[in-house]
Formats: sequence, structure tokens, C-alpha cells
Amino acid sequence: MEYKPYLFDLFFYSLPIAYSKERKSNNVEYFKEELLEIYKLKIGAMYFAVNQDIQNIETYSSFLNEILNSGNTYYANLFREIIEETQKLITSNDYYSVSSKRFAIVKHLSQFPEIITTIDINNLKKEDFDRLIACFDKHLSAAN
Amino acid sequence: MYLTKDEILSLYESGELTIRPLLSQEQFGEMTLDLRLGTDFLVSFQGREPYIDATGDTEARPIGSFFQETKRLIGETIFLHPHQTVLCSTLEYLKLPNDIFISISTRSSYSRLGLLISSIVQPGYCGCLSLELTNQNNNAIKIRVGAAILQARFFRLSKETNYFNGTRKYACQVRPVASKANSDKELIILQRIGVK
Amino acid sequence: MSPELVTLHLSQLQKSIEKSKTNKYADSRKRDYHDNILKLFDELNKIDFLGFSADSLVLTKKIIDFCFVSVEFLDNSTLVNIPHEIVYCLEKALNEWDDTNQYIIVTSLHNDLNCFSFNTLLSLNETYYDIIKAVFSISFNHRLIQINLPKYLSQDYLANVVLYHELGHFVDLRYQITEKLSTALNLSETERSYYGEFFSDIFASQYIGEASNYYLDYIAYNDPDSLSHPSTNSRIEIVHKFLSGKSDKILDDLKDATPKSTGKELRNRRNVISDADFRNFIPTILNSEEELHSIFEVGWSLWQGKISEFEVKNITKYEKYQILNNLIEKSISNYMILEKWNSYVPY
Repeated sequence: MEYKPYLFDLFFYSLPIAYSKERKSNNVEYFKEELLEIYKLKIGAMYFAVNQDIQNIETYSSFLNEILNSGNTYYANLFREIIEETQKLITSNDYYSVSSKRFAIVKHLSQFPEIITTIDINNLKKEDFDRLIACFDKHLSAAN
Repeated sequence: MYLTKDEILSLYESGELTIRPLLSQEQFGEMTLDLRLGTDFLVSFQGREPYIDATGDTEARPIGSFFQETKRLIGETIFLHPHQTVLCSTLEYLKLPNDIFISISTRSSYSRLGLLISSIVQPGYCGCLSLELTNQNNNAIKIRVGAAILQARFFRLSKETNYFNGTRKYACQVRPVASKANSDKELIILQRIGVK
Repeated sequence: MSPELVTLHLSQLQKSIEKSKTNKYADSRKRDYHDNILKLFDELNKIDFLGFSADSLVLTKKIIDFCFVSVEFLDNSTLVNIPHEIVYCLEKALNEWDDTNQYIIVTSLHNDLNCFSFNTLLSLNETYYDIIKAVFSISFNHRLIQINLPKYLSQDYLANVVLYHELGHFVDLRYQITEKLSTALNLSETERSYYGEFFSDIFASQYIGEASNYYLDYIAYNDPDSLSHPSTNSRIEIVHKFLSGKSDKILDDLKDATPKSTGKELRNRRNVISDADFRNFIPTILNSEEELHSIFEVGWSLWQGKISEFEVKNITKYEKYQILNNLIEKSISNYMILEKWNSYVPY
């Protein structure tokens, strides 16, 4: 897993103390221990996040919130890949070009082109997440 | 009549004798065919029954239940403990001509270790040979699956026989099979005599 | 869900893990996978679940379940238990569609005679592997394709042709073939499911020809359309059209979609071989993978017809069943042995 500097900037706004400690130390064991702490408190929602079988706005919303709130860079990296694929799908409309591994979530996110197409994957901002979550919440309310 | 290498090779090349797989032509000796240890084994174990009942009693526990299957892949090893007998089979599937029978024994390299097999295979037999391999040594012996531990001597009869004349319990087997002694029909007669 | 219940579940897993430590595998990839499960268990054992949120407890239970299922399938896939020959054939077929060496076929033997099926939990559900990597820093390099089959039929090579169909489901899901097709064609869920079944039948028939239909006709004789499965007759018909090169809308859709998703075409992948050796009571020498898969079709066609060579010897039906299964098994086994032997012979 490759650390991308822009992700540190992204999460700085909502970093828990644990994550800011990681910036000071590259000790892998320490990082793992802090991640375990985060796991203890919040990680339940992440399980549902990229599950291929669940196309559920609530779960994707939880996934994004987890990235914002707990600063999990591994999931942030996954998110970047997913957005990139979704942008390609929106442009090409070629379902066969989408990676099979992430087809379900990419297909779902492609329903929100107005937001997806405006995201710069090399310069992810907190507002991108906020807008996507807001869009999800809007769809949830409409469904209810 | 005892067959020599040329005669055995001639039977093989004409298709009258089937050996599958034949991994090396060097298995043909001057008057024998080397055969290899196969991948499947039956190992006996002591259960709660005090003996194996081979009298034909239909109520008795099946003979096969006194044995446990185990398997090794070619190239892997297996241990034979001192005085242990395991049922094994040859790697090769053989089909013999109807006028040829073979006598199986361990090759001298292995019989010197105390590994003993002795068996006769009927003319027309088809299948992997099921054999009882016994370790007569006081030490355990570790052997490798696929090793040429056996040798077969070929004998020609004066006329052909029909292997399928009558019930054949072990035809076309590809792994060792526990004894089917209890399916011998004459045991029913003997049982009645014994009961009376 | 309470911390005590999760701790109980973990203790149950410990018993299972302890027993599995002596497992011996022919495939070193299974050993690697197993070692990762042991590491994961050790990490789980370090955690104090008191203070966990409800969501975290549920997730932890699911990870323990993941370990349980992994151990179950690995236990059933040791040297002694696994039906080597059929798994070998399936792996050869799988390698044509995915040559990453990432997927390992494992089996679980059950008492249910109809339990031919396949489970995606350990092969295609990346969530578990993502979470385990993110939280515990344990990377699984392989995935397990779980195939269930009846214990009493594990060495029945006539019945086990069904497993090619199950492998077809894996390939479909792995590449999302019918999912992408159904999105492109705007199909309903039932229609997508039908396409999935048709795909798996056609996939199987690439390797085993009409044999895929014979057993289907037996286990699902005259079944009508259901919510998830098309009628048996329509399934048989589409396989027949595929094998005879005829056209059909569904068949054409699948033939179009498959290379777009996989880079591979649906086509005949078998070489029809003679049944002369089997009639002569000897295993066949197989010279290629195409011939390897064809052996099942030979077995089926002999089973369904009369074998004069067997009849003159008064071979009973049960003996015929045993002999055909033995000859299929030995033919495959000999191919496996020669493949290994020839790869190590120095000349």
C-alpha cells in the first residue's frame, strides 16, 4: 500500500488524535496498534462498505464517513480507485471495461455523474466526500 | 514357461500386455518387470472389535472397517513400522494376456530391508495389483511412493484361461481393496456345517 | 451480541484451529492460506472485546466465521480427503480462464446427496480480505473456491460432471459476465439469473460435451422455469445448440459478452477420444488437456449404452458402475503422474 501525501492533507481536517500521531511516527507496529483502537470503536460500518453484494446507499454512506472520521488510508485509496473507474464508466458507458472486482459499487456510483465527474482523483477534497454523502442522504430520504 | 525380456517387451509392444503408466523402459529387466509403489494405502488399526471375522458371518463387522485409507502423492514418503502390514497397490494398472500369469515379489534391494510381498496374479487380470506389504525389520522403514520396490516374473500357460469365468472380486481396481473373503460362497456351506 | 458470545465463538474456533494444525496438503498454497488463518486467529486472540460497539462485535463475529469456513474447507481438502482427480481437472479448466494462480479449489464433503454447489465467501468477497489486511496487516495471496459435493459421490466421476457447471458460476461471478450483460441489456433479476445458469451450462459443455446434459436431466428432470433457474428442457436445448454450432439469442448474447469480460471465448475445449480402451477394461492414455476433459463424456456415453465387451463377461450393473469410475479415475491419475514425472526427468 502506497502512502499518497494528498491523503494526509485530506484527512487533516477530521483526524482523530491517533491518526495525527501516525504522521509523527512511521512505526508500523504503532500504526497497527492505533488502527486496532479505531477498529474497536467504529469499524463495524466498514464491513458493509465495499461488499459486492450490497448495493445500498446507507452502506456506501457509512463507508465514506468512516474514511473521513477514522482516516483509514487503505480505504481512502480504495475509494480513489473506485471513483476513477466510475469516471471512466460515465465517459465510455462501456460496462465491460469496468474491473469485475468493483463492478457493483462502480455501477451504483455511476448514477451520480453530476458529482463523480467533478471529483479530481489526484486532489481529493473533503468537500467531495461531503457532497457524495449529501447526495446519498437525499436519495435515502426520497426512498423513504 | 518363464518369459525373458524380449518376450515381455514383445507382449507390451503388441498391446497384449498393458502397463499404464510405464514411467521408464528401464523397468524391463532381463527376466522381470519392475513395478512401482502406488499412491493409496490401507492401514489396519485396532478398534473395539477384538478380531477380524473372516468366517463369512454376515452379522460381523465388515473387514474393510478394520482399515483406514491413506494416500500419498507420487514422490512423497510413507513409513512402515516394525512388523506392520499395509495394503498397497501398484502405481501401474496392468492387463495380462489370458495365458500369462505373474509372480510378484519385492526387489532384492527392498527385501534385504525386510520388506516382503509374495503374490500370484491370474491370467487376464486387469487392474492395479493390491498387495500386502510387510515390514519384517525391527526398524521402521521409510519408502517413497513411485519407487520400484516390486518385480514381476512372467509365466506362460499351455492354454488360455478366462479371467471372467466366475465372479471376480477385484477386477479393474485402482487402489488397494480390503479382503472380500467373506463373500466366498462356500463359506455359507461351511457355516451351516459348523452350526450343525 | 455481547462480548461474551464473541469470546465463546472464538474459543470454539480455537478448538477447530488446534485440530487443523496437523493437516497435510499437497498444494503449498493451501499451507500458506492456512498459516495466514493461524496468524489471524492469534491476532483475534489478543483483543479484549469489552468496550466494543455492537457493529464491531458483529464484524468480529463475521471474521471468526470466515476463519471457521476456511478451516472447514481446508480440513476437507487434505491429502486424504480431497477427490484429487476431479479437482485436478477443474483446476486445469480454471487455469484457462484465470492464470493468476490466485484461486485454489477446495472441497467440502456433505451427507446431502444433492449438495453440489459453490460458495463465494472465500473467493470473491474481497471485503473480508480488505478488512483483514487493513486491520491486521495480514495479506492473503490466495482465494479459496469452495465447492460442496456429496460425501458418497466424491469418487463418482459420472455425477461430478456437475462441478464443471459450478466452476462456470465462479467464472461468471469472477468476471461479472452476466452481471455486466444484464446491465447492458437492462434485464430483470430473474432474467439475469437465467443467463447465469445458461452460461454455467455452456461453460461446462465446453469441456464435457453432452455429459453436462445427462446428469442435469437426471437431477432436474423436467423442472419448469423457476425464479432462479430456467426450465431443464431449455437448458438442455441451449447446450445442444452450442455444441452443434446453432444460433440462439441467449447463446449469442453470452458468446458476445464473454470475451468482452474475460478475453476468452466460449468454444469447444475438448478432443473427443475413443472408448476402445474402456471397452477393453484399461484406462486411456490422455495426451492433452482437451483429451483429459473428454474422459467424462466417454464414461457417460458408455454408461448409457450397452457395452458388449462387458456383457459377454456377465459384468453386473454395479460392477459396470465401479469399473467405469475406476477407469476414469485411473486415466486422470496417470495423466497427473506422467505430467509430474516428465517435468522432472532430466532427459
